[in-house]
Amino acid sequence: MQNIIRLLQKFQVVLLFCLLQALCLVLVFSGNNAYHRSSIASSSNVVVGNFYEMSHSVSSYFNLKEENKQLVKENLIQKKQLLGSQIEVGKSFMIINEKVYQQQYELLDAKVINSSITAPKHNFITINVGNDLQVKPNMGVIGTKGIIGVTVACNSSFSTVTPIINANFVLPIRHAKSKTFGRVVWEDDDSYNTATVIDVPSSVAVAEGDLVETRGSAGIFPEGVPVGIVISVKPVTGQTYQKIKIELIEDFSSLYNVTVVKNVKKQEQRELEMQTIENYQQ
Amino acid sequence: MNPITRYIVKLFFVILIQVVALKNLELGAANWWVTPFVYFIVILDLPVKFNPILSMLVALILGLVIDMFYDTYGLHASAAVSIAMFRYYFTGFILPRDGFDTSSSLTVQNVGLGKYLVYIGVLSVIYHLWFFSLEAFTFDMFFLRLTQAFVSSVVAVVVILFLHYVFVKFDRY
Repeated sequence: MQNIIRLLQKFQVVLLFCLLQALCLVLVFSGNNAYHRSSIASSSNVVVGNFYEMSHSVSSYFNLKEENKQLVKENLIQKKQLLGSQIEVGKSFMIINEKVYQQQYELLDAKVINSSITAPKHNFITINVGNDLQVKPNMGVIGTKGIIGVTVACNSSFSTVTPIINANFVLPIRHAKSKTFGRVVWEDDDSYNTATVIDVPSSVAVAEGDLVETRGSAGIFPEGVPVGIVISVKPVTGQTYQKIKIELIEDFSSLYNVTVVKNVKKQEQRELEMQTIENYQQ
Repeated sequence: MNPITRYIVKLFFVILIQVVALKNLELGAANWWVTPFVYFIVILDLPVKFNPILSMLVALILGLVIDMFYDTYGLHASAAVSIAMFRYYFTGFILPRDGFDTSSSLTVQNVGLGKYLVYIGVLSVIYHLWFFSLEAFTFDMFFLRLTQAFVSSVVAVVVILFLHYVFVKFDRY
């Protein structure tokens, strides 16, 4: 006992120093010092965090089998999603703001989700955009190379398209070289990659390999979009026009990415034209 | 004048200097580097053989008073207590081997300017380093803090030397 007291007496200065330092530190960390309170919390977190990390790095090996199973399961789920069980519907027309040039056509990209090429008369295409994205009937649809058709019916998320390879399809077009007007139709003897151009006068020289493009007069397509390439020209007996067979530029047997064209000025054009016709009729 | 009264007058004077003058030191960008503390001269000024326990208690109270003015709960008290303890062990290295009256305090007259400068220099570096380290409470940027402590100490030593001469004059008066 006496030894202990003597020891205490020997180190009394250092002992008191430690005691007072402890008192000061208690003051520092319990007082109003927000910084020190947070810093002791964070430095203790470093110690505790390192310990947990070390123990976790060992224990994680024991769970590898379970985790593998979990990952395989997740992979399956992801694979199912990849295999097209979902369709993309959230998009909108791309708009370019210009002050000098007013934009006439707005574009919206879409995906073909159903199409046919073998029907004798009425092939159709379904695309994954609809009323929700302001797609309406009578809008043009362009593929990656040339025109595809015109929308006919829409619901909230889908639209059907009448392609060129449909007996009901008629579109004003022009011969690219001479700018002569005509109409493209799909006749009985046409296959999935050809169409017929009528109403081009016999006086116009049309050669094989000439390009046929849209005219832009109906306000459905912009002008100059490729439609097809001339493969044969036949004069029709007793008529003033010639019959031109064209090979369609767009491959209707492999449609995927398409663009829907919206004509902002279509209504204006139509109203003015109707007014003019009415004026003549009076 | 009674030595204890004299000591209390010194205490008030030093606290006044620290809190009124040095706390409001305006040096612009250099303020971050120069934060001198000089009030602990009254601890260094105690007689050499003064009871270390008592001197630590004095340091604690003085530090707490400074803490009140600086809004640093316990930081100055901690540094001042450590100064009081280091002084107790450090004076042995400074003092001449014999012929020194340990009931008097260390002054320039007693030990010469060189030794006195070492005495206050080392202890003020310890003080500032202790204070800045405890204030930051991390080992990040330790050398920056070391520089901070040294620069502040140099300024503090100059002020302490000035105060020392004032006190010597005051003691004779």
